[in-house]
Amino acid sequence: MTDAPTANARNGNSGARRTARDLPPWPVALLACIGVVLFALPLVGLVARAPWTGLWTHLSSRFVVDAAVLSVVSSIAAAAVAALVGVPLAWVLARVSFPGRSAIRALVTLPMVLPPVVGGAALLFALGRRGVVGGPLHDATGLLLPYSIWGVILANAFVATPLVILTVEGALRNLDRRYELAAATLGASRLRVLWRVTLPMIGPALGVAVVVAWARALGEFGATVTFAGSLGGRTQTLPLAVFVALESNRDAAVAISLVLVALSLGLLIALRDRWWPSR
Amino acid sequence: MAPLAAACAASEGDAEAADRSRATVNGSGTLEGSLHVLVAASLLPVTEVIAASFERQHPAVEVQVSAAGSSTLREQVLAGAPADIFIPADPSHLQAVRQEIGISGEPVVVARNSLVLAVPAGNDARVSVLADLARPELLIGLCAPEVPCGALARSGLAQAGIEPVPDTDEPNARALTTKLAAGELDAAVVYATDAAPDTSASPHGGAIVSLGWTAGTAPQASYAAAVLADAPNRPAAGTFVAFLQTDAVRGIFADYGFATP
Repeated sequence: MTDAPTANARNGNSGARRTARDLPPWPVALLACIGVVLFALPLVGLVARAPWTGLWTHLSSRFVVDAAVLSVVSSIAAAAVAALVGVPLAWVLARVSFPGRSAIRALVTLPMVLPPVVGGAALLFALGRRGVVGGPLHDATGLLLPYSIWGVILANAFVATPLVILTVEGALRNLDRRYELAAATLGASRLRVLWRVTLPMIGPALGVAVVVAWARALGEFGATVTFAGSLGGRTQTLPLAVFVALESNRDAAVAISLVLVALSLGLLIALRDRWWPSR
Repeated sequence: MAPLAAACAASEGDAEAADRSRATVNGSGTLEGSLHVLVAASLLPVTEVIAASFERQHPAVEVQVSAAGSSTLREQVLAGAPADIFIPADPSHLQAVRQEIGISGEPVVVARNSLVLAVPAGNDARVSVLADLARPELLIGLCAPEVPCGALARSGLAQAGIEPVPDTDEPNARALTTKLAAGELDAAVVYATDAAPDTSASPHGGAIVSLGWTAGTAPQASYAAAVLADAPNRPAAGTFVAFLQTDAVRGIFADYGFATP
């Protein structure tokens, strides 16, 4: 810890030499280290239990491949839904002042703090076959969301969309609006301003929002199992497969978990380098 | 005989248990501390009533009941979850626990349950026999093969020559009954204790109706209670398992539709 400034200066990766003032006070350093250990330990556990020799056999087994395909398709679809619904909502929340705006914002970000199982149950009571909306819908069209990939996508989108809303609303609020005003005075319609000026300017934030939403959808468990059920090849996504395999085939469960961890970790590192200021 | 076994379980290693126990038997011989009981999901409602009754007899003991799929609980126990008693819906889940953690004394079967074909109140899909579980146009639910209600249902159906086409394999019995009670499934194989022959007497407010097991003998689940070797509160655990075999508790089990040995 204490030799950080000299090491830093030797490497010469920052212009100014760090001073003692940049060093954290010891309680801060200690708690930060505890924090790192807290997050690193589960990974150590996972890696220690990993069936390295049979890894590929586990990952290429039928139920894992089925679950992986379903997870990839449904999480991408959910991220698309999240962007499609989340960006307009964020725009309205950031730009339009109307009574009840805070209430609406709380409502649409509720799934972030709600236990996912509660969200899934609520979806079931609303959109299930006997649900408030799902009942009439099913009677009229025969459409049934639970037990299908549509149910998985909806459950995933339900928990992922708030991430898009919050990120994009923040970006819109920080945007320098003079560019939009300039475009408008040059005769661009409001939709054209949104498409050609606003969206490109919040592009990086939007990218982060969609990728984080996608990762959240990929890892979703509670809402999915409660609303869409769990059936191999139809609604059993990777997290559900891990849950089932933990009790019958622990090696396979650990193998899937490793893939999910590697994917998420790689994603977060890539995001940091690309879009988040690394200063 | 069974109470005897439980009594032995309680006395075995009492001395060392008392040393590291968070609970102790105080001078007058009353039990103290908390008692953590892990039960199969299907056992939750009745265990809560039994626990309340136990706490009235032993006011210094606080019984904490956790319920989940038997296989989930087994993994928690194997991973070192602090628990005193484990009661899965199938004694086979005690095997690994016995080998890796150890069981104090012999497990005692305290209740039995049978599986039934069940439908939501109203039975809109006109389900009548087990063979209807093979109708692809119906919404069918089973427990996952990993949990006893799913394993028993599958072996029972296989014996009857029926190949079910489930739309969902729920992780435990309660998750399945929740969907059935909500009318989001046309039929499911659930425990007899979660359904009732008529629409008034079921714990789900009459939302689930039992049609019985329409092909031969119904598959049976046996709930065997085991005191874990590393139970933090061994004295209370032994007493609780003995309590489970008293006539009073048998009556409670019977009220909830369980058979008792």
